[in-house]
Amino acid sequence: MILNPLNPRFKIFSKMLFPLLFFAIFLLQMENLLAQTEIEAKISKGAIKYIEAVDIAVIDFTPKDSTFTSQITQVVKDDLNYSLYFRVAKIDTFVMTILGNDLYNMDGWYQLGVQYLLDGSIQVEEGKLKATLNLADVLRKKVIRTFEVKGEVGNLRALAHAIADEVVLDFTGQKGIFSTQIAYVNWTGGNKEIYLCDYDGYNHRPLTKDLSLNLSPVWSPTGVQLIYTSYKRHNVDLWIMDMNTKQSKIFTSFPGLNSAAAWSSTGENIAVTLTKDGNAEIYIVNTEGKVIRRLTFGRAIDSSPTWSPNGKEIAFTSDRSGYPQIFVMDTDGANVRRLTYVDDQADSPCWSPRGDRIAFVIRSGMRFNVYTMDVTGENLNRLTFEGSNENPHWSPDGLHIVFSSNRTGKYQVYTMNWDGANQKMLTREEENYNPSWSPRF
Amino acid sequence: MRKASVLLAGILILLLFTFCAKKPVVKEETKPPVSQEEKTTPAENPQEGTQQVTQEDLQPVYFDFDKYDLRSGDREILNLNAVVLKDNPTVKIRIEGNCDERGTVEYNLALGERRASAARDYLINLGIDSDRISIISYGKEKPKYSGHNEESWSKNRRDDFIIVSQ
Repeated sequence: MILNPLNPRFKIFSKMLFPLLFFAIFLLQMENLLAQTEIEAKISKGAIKYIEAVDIAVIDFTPKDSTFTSQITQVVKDDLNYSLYFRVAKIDTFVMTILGNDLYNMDGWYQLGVQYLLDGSIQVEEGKLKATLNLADVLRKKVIRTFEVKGEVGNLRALAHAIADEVVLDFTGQKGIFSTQIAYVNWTGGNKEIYLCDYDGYNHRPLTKDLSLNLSPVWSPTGVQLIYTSYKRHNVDLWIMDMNTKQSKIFTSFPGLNSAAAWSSTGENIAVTLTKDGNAEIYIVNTEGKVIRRLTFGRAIDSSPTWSPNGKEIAFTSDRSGYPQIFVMDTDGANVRRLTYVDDQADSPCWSPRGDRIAFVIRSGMRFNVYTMDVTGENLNRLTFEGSNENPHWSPDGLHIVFSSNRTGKYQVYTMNWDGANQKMLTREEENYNPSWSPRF
Repeated sequence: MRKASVLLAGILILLLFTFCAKKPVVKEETKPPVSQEEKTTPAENPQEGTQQVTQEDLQPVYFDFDKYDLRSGDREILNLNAVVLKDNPTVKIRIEGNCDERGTVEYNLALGERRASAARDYLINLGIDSDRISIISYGKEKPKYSGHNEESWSKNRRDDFIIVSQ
């Protein structure tokens, strides 16, 4: 909050920085110092609390002596912990003592503060995996739901993710995000290809293989299509891929830049950045790539549109203020408001699917960091502190953010919770960046 | 405050090391933007109409961070590039705008295109037919120099003038 220039404490804060800054200029390494000082200032993490986690115990699925089932159980536990809706109880010797070595001792679990119990069995039926799960309420000492999940024999992780998706569905009314995918750009030093991986960083695979520069993948709201920027026809065009057939075709190919696509939540409209009229402006096109209307005018660069989930507003980056800042407008281009007032540069907005926050980046010296703010531009919350961190994109439940960071010396894709906790590296080979989180399928 | 100064000292020592370690590694791969040599090359061309234009005859121009306006030295380079183009009226070029690695993919794509347009507009003003010039932005996606320092960045903020047909 101190970072918000509207806050009177910002002045005091910046005064404190002044002598340090002068010193740093002499040393030509201002930004490193600034980053350190900011960490020292212990910027508060914001006061939002989305959910209260529920305590659940997951009992090893049967057959118990199988490495397959223990692997599935482990993935389900990891997923549930990741979801933030659950805290999965550790089952250690202390717990077993309390339970009197009986994993179904409901009084014991109640004593341990556990509210729900999940167990299940895995069978092979007609060449497919079939999982039967039971969810029990510890207090009421009864099974409240039994459900079945099917999967392919060769893909244990997918079966586990589907089980965890169902558990979250049961508690929240919406499926979990464990079967979602992350599209990102892989860079081997020359070409850039779009890759996919599971939300937890497993199962990396290439989507494009055309030895060109392919950038900025964005999913349609159903996940059936992916729009990306490509140089394969020697112009900067938008291409659209059918995710079932993996076939791509041109989406828009106006003279100049065709980039920065964003789907509205209904899937009917797509906001894009085009330079066909001489300067980077935001337009709305339909699913055929035909321009419906132009939203921005003037000499500034207007780019990186992102829709509010209710489809009424679009946040975007513009340098109309001299250097890039985040603005918001209605979807007819009217009612433009400036959201950020940062000294350096604010860019890369992504509207949370919950509607209440916008993730974006602020540059300070050589580095960028991921922040979130209210849709009014208030209550800034800094989420990253190491290396340069760019391109934040929300998970479909609005509780996690995927982004890229060069904190290890190379750009890699990471995920973190909405408040910056649990930062986890998903990619390791070569360099990877520009990620986009799929919707639930 | 004490904690801060200890940290500061630590950072300084680290920085000293990184500076010492990094400097010698940097390789000079291009000539500085304006050199004596470049000024003489185009002057040789007019008499020899049959001689093909080479890529070296068209020199790149460089930009300041987050800027797309032409510096005065760059205008001189563009004047010379215009002479080459006028003397070889069949030559078509593509101006490729590039940025350093700082900034987002999308913003840099737009910035790179502005840099390319700035040079194109200048050449058109000097009388070069607009049909002979196409532009493309590579943003920060095709860095010629891979270093993560101002040495590389300043050389990556660049317009290249690529001959597409003679």
